[in-house]
Amino acid sequence: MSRLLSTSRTGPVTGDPPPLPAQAARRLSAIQYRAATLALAALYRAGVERPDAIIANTALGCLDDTERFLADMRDAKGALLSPLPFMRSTHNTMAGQLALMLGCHGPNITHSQGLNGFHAALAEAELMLHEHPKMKVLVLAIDERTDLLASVAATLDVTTTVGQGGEAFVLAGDTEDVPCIARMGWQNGATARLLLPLAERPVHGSVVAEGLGSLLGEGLRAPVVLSGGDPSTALLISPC
Amino acid sequence: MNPPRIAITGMGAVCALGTGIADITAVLVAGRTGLRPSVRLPYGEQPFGEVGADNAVLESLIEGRFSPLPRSRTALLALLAAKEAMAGTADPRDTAVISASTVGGMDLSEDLFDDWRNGRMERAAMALEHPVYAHTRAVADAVGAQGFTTTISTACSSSANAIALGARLLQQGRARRVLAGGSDALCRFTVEGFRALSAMDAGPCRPFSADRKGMNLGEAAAYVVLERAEDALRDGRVPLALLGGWSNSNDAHHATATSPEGNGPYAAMREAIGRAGLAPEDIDHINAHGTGTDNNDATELRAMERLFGTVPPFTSTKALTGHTLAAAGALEAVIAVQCLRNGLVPMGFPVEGPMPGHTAMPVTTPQRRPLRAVLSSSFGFGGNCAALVLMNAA
Repeated sequence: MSRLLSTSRTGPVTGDPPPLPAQAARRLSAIQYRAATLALAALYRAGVERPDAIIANTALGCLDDTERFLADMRDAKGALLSPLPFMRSTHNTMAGQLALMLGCHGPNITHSQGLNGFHAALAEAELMLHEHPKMKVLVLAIDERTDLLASVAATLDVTTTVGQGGEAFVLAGDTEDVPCIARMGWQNGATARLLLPLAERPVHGSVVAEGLGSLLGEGLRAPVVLSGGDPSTALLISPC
Repeated sequence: MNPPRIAITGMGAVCALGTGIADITAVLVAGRTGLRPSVRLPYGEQPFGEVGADNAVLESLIEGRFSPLPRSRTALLALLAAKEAMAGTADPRDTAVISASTVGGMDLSEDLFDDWRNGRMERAAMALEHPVYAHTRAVADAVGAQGFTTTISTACSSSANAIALGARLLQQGRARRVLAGGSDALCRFTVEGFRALSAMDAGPCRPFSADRKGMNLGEAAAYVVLERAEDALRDGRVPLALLGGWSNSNDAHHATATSPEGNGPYAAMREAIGRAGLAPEDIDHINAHGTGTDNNDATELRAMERLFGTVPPFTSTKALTGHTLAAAGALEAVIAVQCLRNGLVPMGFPVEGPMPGHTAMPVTTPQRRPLRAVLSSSFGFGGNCAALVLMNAA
């Protein structure tokens, strides 16, 4: 069992989280900036300064920098390329940047499994918190949409499936008497409403994360189940 | 109560050294490198760890063909290795699949990008293979696995982290069996990226050599089948090896460079050894990360010296396979298991002396000796540091 302490939009600490330091913000790509903003908000709302682990989820990663580097490769014709878009194109850019920004030397993992990636990230957090109940784990889901993605998706008739958004959560073990907004554990036979489908055919796990975030923001009244399709790892999220 | 021990009961791999575990092992014993100029990529004499088979040959090697076969090389390599790993599993349904990739279907996307950005969408369907998780679904379908499925993408430590997650799923009873590993095909995107970072050696890479100039890229897929040791023994199967320990930590120093003292690598190695219930002196051999870049090799050896004092015989098999990115952790774990089973310390680049400021030198020719425990390290972009401890099952 674990406890959800906060999301980017709700938690025991109210008010506005402090903005990103301007100097740090200038060095970030757009998706890194959004990831950092969401993560810092969730940490602030939980009253946690530095998480012990960071688990991120992204379906398509840093598309903007990926496209930028592909365009540079195409257009440079042998000229020296800037490594910056390449460095920022990897899926773990956001989690790695957050570790650097927060000074987090603990586990740092990025999951990608389309619609199911956010469930996988939460499942990994649950495994981690079972082993180390004193840890505070930041779980972040983030994706970005580009014009090229939109036009490819339109061609493939999957326009409902690409979102641009994200949400961050702070989780802790179930041993401490800390204020929480929900409890989480393996479903183990209990039946509850499946959290999905939230959108018609979302491919981005961040859409699922936003759905859970908004449900928790309104105040969870009944348990919901989050599943990647395999019954033995289905997660039950219930009111505190 | 002690957590259940984790056994490796199946393995499969394809890399520049060969197709299949038996081929790869024979080349390791003989002590030959797989680095050579690429047949597929336009980089002249620059060496790569390229898999010899082209896509058509890979397709023909994938047994029990199912339709439609994926087009991306990352997925084809993954199917070949995953099927070898699962060959001994009678009923695969109860299997979780945790794979890893950093490039996914980039080998297709980089060819089609110009079409797409200019509105030529005839082959837009290939974009469905772009995501790093596309090959994972293909693998699960191809081997008939129906359990938990996810893809880890933590740069060069990805598949080591996939194996660690698999072990935790098993220890906590959330899976009966896990197929864990990773796949990355060579593509121009990563070659150009590491060139832009000035991290590539124009000649063969020279890990842990004073005159090292950078890495060579490679491609590979590698998978292990993990089960609780008690389950495997009850079913009458002899484990190939035990996965004694694993770890993940973050250096949190710089986006692409390791801290001078190697703090992340040090923490990762120490934790993996501790989790295996061992002390540093119990480690008989280290399959190092050893990319051949100035920063990695210096900080990694510094971390090894801090942890071990006298560093056990260590090798970077990247001098033989190239750096296979997301596949590297699983490929080197598979190599470590074969070293345990065959009593082999493989060779890396034949350095002529230690790096300045160090006394420890890597292994330069293959050695035969009994091994009980091997440490395998994988570090990457974003400060990601992972380590695995493989132990003799006997």
